[in-house]
Amino acid sequence: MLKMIGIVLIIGSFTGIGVSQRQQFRGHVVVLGDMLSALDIISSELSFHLTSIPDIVGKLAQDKRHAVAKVFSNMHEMIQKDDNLSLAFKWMKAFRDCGQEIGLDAEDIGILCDLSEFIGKYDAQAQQKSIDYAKSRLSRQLEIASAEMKSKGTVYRTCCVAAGILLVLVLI
Amino acid sequence: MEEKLEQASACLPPGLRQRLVQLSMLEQKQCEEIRLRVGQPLQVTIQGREHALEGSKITSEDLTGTFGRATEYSVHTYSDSLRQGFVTLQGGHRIGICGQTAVQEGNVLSFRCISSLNIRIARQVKGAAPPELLLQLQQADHLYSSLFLSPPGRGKTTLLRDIARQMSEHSIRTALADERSELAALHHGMPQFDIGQHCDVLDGCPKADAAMMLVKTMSPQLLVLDEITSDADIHAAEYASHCGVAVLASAHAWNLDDFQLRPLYQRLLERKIFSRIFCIEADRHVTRIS
Repeated sequence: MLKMIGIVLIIGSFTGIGVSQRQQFRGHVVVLGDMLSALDIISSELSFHLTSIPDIVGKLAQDKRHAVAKVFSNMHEMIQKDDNLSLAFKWMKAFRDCGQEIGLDAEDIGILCDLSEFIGKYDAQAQQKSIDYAKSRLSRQLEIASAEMKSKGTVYRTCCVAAGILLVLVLI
Repeated sequence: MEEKLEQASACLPPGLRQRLVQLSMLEQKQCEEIRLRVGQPLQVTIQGREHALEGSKITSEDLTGTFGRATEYSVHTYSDSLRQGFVTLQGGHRIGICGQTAVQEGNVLSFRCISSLNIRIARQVKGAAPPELLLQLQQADHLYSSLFLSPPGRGKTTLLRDIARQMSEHSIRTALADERSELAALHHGMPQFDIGQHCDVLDGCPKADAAMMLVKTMSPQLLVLDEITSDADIHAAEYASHCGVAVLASAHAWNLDDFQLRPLYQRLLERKIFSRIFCIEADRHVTRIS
């Protein structure tokens, strides 16, 4: 009976590790999709309502998606503060502080930080061009992440299950 | 700090804002403008005279920081008014901008560098329009289209706002074409000034378009247009008056003679839109001149 429980625990925990690795790949794909959607919202607000950046950030801070709300609520808090720091600095700081936590990698964060050079500084068309460029770079990141999820994700899950079974066999 | 001064100075970097505390409460209440010029001390205008405040001289960074905060770091939101050299802050306070402009095909695109800023503090003066003036604008149910002349700084906008408020409080459906966000100063749809219960505002829209939209959609009895400056504005006033709407407007001129000298205003007079013309004197007294 104890052997059976041990076997189940070992195989279960190894499978759990494999699944959680796959979830990490999946999480990266989801968060990239969320960021692309946030950029779409920014782009639409800029082109149609000419909404100010603090108001757009405030709107995104209340987004239902955790990743979007996390970054932009952090940014919104910083914007509300009465200090001498520029919006560009606050934009970058929010992505650097929260990016990894929500599942973005260094390259994704770099792409989003690059936007700080344009956001709020030029007319709506110029800003939209920079957003479109960031979107195309993020879309490429999304393609890579999706391919990774399909290939590496399955490999990790299978390997972990196999490793669990192998360990059980060795121990028996 | 006095409420309006605090609101108007919110766009200043914290270090500069702190200097305004040097002013006594009376001076704060009387403060009309805050002036920032690169290489000069921070200055305030009180009763028409500029006074320098103690402290280091204004730097380009101070001006850039103030400009960024005034525009909420969103140049695109204010691009139209920036082309005309100003930004309106929350509360209806207006910042005039000077510096090096970027011009393309004869039109101002933006400011490359800023050399000075002038923050004009907007204050509501309830009762600026005395009862005897209101009696001249309305007899029984009839409202007279009226034009107010004065040079800058004599309170045209303050007077128009107060007339609109009092008319609106007397159940007259009033519409404000508030192109520069100075009459009602809407912020997130909420007027920052008291404009009465029966007042509709179209904010940020060119006066001529706003007048047409308001007449067509809100059926006002009184339409308020601050500062007639173009043929399109004249056309809008004429359209409203043909629709049976009384028009209340203002224009820059010292007096009727000065007014009649200008070709634009000659065309306005030819249309016979206004049955009353008033002049605002230096002591803010309003005199009927036609």
